[in-house]
Amino acid sequence: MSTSSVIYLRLLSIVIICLILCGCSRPSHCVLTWCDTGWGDGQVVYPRAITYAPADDSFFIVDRLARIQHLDHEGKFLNGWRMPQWQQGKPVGLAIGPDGNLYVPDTHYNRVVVYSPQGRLLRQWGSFGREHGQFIYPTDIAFDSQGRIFVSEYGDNDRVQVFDSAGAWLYQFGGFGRGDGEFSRPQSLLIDGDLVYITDACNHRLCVFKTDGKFVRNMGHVGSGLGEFRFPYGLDQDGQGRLVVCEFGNNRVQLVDKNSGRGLKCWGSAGHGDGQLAYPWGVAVDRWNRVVAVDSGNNRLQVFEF
Amino acid sequence: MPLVTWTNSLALAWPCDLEFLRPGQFLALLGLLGVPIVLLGARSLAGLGPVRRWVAIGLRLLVLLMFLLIIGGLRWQRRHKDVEVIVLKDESESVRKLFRDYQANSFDEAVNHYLDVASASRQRQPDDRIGVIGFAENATIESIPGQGLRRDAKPIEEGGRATDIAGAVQLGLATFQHNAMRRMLLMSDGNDNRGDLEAALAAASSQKVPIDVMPLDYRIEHEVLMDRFIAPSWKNEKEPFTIEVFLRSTNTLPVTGKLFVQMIDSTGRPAAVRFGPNADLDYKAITIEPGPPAGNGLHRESITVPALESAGVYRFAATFEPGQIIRPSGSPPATGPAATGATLSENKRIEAFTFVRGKGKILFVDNFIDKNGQRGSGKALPDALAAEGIELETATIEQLNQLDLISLQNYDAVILGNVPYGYGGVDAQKADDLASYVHDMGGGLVMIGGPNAFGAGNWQASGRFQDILPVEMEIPAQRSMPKGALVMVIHSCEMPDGNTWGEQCALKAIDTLSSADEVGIISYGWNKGRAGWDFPLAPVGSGSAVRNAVRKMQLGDMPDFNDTLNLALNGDTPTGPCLLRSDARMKHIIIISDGDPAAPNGDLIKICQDKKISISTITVYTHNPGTKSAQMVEMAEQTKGRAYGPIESNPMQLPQIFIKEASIVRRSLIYEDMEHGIPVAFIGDEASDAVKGLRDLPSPLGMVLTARRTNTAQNDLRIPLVAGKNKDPLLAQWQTGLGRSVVFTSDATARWAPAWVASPAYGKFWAQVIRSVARAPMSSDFDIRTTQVGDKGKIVVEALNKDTGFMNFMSIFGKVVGPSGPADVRLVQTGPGAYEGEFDARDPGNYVALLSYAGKRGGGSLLTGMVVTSTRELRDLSSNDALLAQIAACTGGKVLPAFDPLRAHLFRREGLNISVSPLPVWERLIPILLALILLDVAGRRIAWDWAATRRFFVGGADYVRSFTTTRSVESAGAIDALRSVRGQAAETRAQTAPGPLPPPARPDPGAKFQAKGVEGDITSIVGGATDKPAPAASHKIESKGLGGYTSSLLDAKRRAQDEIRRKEKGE
Repeated sequence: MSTSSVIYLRLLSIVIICLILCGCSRPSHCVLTWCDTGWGDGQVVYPRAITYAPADDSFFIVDRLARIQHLDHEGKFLNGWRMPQWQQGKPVGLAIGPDGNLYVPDTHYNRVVVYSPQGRLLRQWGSFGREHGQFIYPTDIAFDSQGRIFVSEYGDNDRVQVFDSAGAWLYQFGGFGRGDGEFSRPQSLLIDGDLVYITDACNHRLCVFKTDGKFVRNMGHVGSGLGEFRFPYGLDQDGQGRLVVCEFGNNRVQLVDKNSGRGLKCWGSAGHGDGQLAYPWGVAVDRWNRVVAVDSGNNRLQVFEF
Repeated sequence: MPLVTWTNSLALAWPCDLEFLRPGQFLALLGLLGVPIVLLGARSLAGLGPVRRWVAIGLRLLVLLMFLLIIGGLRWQRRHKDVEVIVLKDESESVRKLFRDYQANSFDEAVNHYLDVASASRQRQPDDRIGVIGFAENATIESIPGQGLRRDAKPIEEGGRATDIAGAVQLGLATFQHNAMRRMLLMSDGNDNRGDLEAALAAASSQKVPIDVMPLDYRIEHEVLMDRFIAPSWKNEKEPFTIEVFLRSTNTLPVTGKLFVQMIDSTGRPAAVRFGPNADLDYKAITIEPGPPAGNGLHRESITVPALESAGVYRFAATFEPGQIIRPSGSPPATGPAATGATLSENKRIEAFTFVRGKGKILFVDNFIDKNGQRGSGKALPDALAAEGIELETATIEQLNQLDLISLQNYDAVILGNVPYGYGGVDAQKADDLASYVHDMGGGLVMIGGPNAFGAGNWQASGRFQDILPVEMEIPAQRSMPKGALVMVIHSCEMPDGNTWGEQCALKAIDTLSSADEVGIISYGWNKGRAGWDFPLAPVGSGSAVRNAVRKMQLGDMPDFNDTLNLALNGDTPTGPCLLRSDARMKHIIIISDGDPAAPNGDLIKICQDKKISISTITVYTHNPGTKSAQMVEMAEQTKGRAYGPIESNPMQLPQIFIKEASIVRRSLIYEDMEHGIPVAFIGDEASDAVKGLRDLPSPLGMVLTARRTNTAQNDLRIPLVAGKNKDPLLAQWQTGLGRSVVFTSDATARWAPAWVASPAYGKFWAQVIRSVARAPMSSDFDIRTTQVGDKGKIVVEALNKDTGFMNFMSIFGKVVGPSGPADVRLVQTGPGAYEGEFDARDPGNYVALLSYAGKRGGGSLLTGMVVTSTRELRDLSSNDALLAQIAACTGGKVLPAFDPLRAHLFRREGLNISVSPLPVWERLIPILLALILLDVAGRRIAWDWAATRRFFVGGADYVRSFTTTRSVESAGAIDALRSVRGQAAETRAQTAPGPLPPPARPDPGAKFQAKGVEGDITSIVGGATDKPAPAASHKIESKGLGGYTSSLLDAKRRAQDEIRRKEKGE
């Protein structure tokens, strides 16, 4: 065999090996799609919320059929159940408590429902109203290091109520409005240390409070640029402590510096293709910094990394 | 076997077929074109040799074959052997109430258990599918066919009032997927009473879908039902008459009971018909004897109705209260139906009605209000007419809406005074009834104006009703009119079928607007992330552009109203369309939403208040049932709009609300001149009874603008009075169908016509108007009866004149208006003065017929009707197994035992037609065809060297083998020997190397071949031909064969080479 043939074969081998290796490793910005449209297991109809369960690296999602589905870290269906009532409306939020149970703000039934990861109904509290411990459209739940439970709600209340771990009311903060310390549809909560981050959806901003309810600052305003928001709905943070904000209006997920509110990166645009979103409602980040966006209008979840 | 049959059977056996050619045509074409190819090829390709010739011919035939397959549209027939079963579950009222033979808590539970067990059959393959369709009067998919039964789809309403097996079969056929063998299972009592079952079964049979049936058997042994109620259609005042009730019993023994008859007069007052010698009983005790055959005979009861004092429609309701079965003495006691002889309460009541002739009545719907919004001003009209001898019966809009078509027959004419249409006015059903009352029943209509009448009262959206009016409510575009601007905010996506309802509401509102009005539509656009114009605020024009925009709407989940109101008021660009930049006189916003979006900013509400832009909100399907959304109510209250809702159950009212709200911008149709009045002019050539003898009518202060009808061919349209400088219609009248209608576009009160009300001509004018439209009285020469016979209504007319006797050879025809709409009916003469006709009467409800007659003594009209109180669902007292068996037989299905899942065998393959779905593959043949054409050319043009080909492949094989064969390790001796040979070879090359070779001399083309270094003729050395004549053969050459000849040549060559080598060495 001639020398040139040997060289050619060697180059060809290198190329083939490279191609094989490329196929085995996932590029950093590769998009995965989980779930498709339908009523079956692992299928969704307009999913609206997601939360990450770090204990077993799994996810819980809820859709417009009021079905809660438990997915593993590859998006495969583990188990699922349906909310006890759904005619009035379906939940728009989910949270994993310190006890490992799933806390569901049953938005249109004005209560908080707690399930075991296996779907066993453990307890519930709340009723319609404006009094302490009552709710009008609870949207999300978060827990601080002391085990206190923070519940956001909109409707006429637009506030965050705080309960102890047993569900007893402690205090509340916020109220409807456009000013500092006020909300118009607080959609998602995130607690980091002694700070509470809130997506103030209809004011197109993020609000920061102390866990004791003291207002700290607002971040962002309406717009489509970096650091700007249009109906921010979902909220989580990555392993580096950066906020991951899902924007219902801009159909994108934005990475935000939680101290300055500076927008760092955006992912997604309006559409139906891979890497595009329609009406995204929620977002969750796992321990590998994979971001799972709830692509509600496309009836799917999309997984990516910044 | 005929060729076509043979080829067809061949095609069925093959997994392929042709889309555009039949097999016979294909074979014929192949033969027709193939034979010449073979014959011509055999002659023209003779020079190629036999092998190449036939290869070339074969290739040409293949080219032809591919070509025909391509133009024939070759399809691969995929065969599917999975089974798909669709269960048709009868959920009609008869099954729900009469079938009891199942071992479960409910019929649904029994069906579910049956299907679960039947689905677990061992015959079932993993990919087999099952689905469920529930049906009654409509069919609905309850479970989409899948590998498991998913029962979470919404079931149809329980107890439908009809059974439509045909509809279920058709839906089942449409639901089947085409990649499976198909079967249906029909679970029914077989009492089908709707749809075209024969056509549905033909469709199933033609698609080779067998229908197994599972009869739901029942037979009601103890029942008494009201079979028929006959009352005369017409009777005179103060004249007693007889009504007849027919009862049917399924008992084999006599049954006792009480018969109650209630009479409701024209004012709605109920009264019991009295029985007994002293008329002291409100019931009649009856005993129903079993009659032939098998106890199903009819029992007749005649009831005398006392003389009725006033004219109008009288309704009768007969009710049977079961007593007990009369048993032979000594019989064991019984309970329930076995004791009373009756099972179903639904079959115990029946209704009929009679028109009683007398002095005609006029209905006046008074909605007049004065300047202060107070009612009562309309009383001037009945007072004035009373002086003219016309009594009016005054009613409100609500009372009018409660009248049915039969009750309307109480009146010879209906007057609508300042009455609007739609939400808060006459509802759509009543408007249709009024249209039927006038057009089909010959009634009269007078429509009087006011701020809520005509176009200002939405009547332009009233559908059929506006067609009976002699004016149009749409003002021609050429007229310069103040315009309105309407913005609709559509956020109805959260309610069931929200997008559809949003679209329907918007379309209805657009219909309400005039072409000059402006309209804009806003929804939340997901891809913009904000509220956006689906149709930017612009004139309606022809309406096509905005309607197209509405149909393209994709309603998003709107997060807040701030963005929305900002867009409506300020637009999306500094110069874009918006309400604040519109020059419309009336500006209005309608918002439909579940109230979920966040409230708007206060500054936007302030702008609305300052600019007099009203906002009406419609809250639909709020997430907290029964509660109003605070922001929706506040927006409406703060801007002087209306807040509707929460509407959570009947979305049918939504379009009406939109119509009402959209009409706010149509207030520009009201024309008022309160200071000088609007001058009135007579149109002299428009002769009219209404204005006969009247001159110099006072000017009204206001009117609603309407337009002359331009699209009518009728020549009896009269507009005797016009008003204003544009001569807009003030009084118009015409004949519409069998009735007449009149409009007066000003009002009849002191608000717009104070001078008229005070004028002595006022009463005379209105009396003439009403007399010109009122229905003529009926002739007393006719006796009419209308009865229900099965699914039909039967009209019997007896025409007898007191002076001339039977009235023969008359033409009698007309319309029947029933629950399903109007239908034509024609009567034929069946005897002296007797005429009969039939019409469909399947649906329960009122059927009113107006017949026109014509004969030697002139013509006229007759009114009659009947009531169907219940459907046939509960009147068939046993299941119809014969029909079910027929369904199974004609589709190739089986009759299965009821609720025995182990014998169901739903997934058996026997009797099923293998489903085949074609996949076009002809496109894939095109490259093959091109390749064959190239091969065909190559085969004829290229003479193939088979030896070279063999060497090529052998060489290639050796080359490949050199990579794949493992060499054995040579011994040291062998390597040494090789080295030695290589060394000798190198030495030899070194000795013989002469240095650089000179360039070769140009060959002499004329020279003979001369071997270098060979002296003399080389042929003397190597043998061969010379230029000398060959010597004559001295002896015969012996043939050495091919091997001997070759070896001798090789020997000669070897000798020549040895000789050359010696010469070179100088030997």
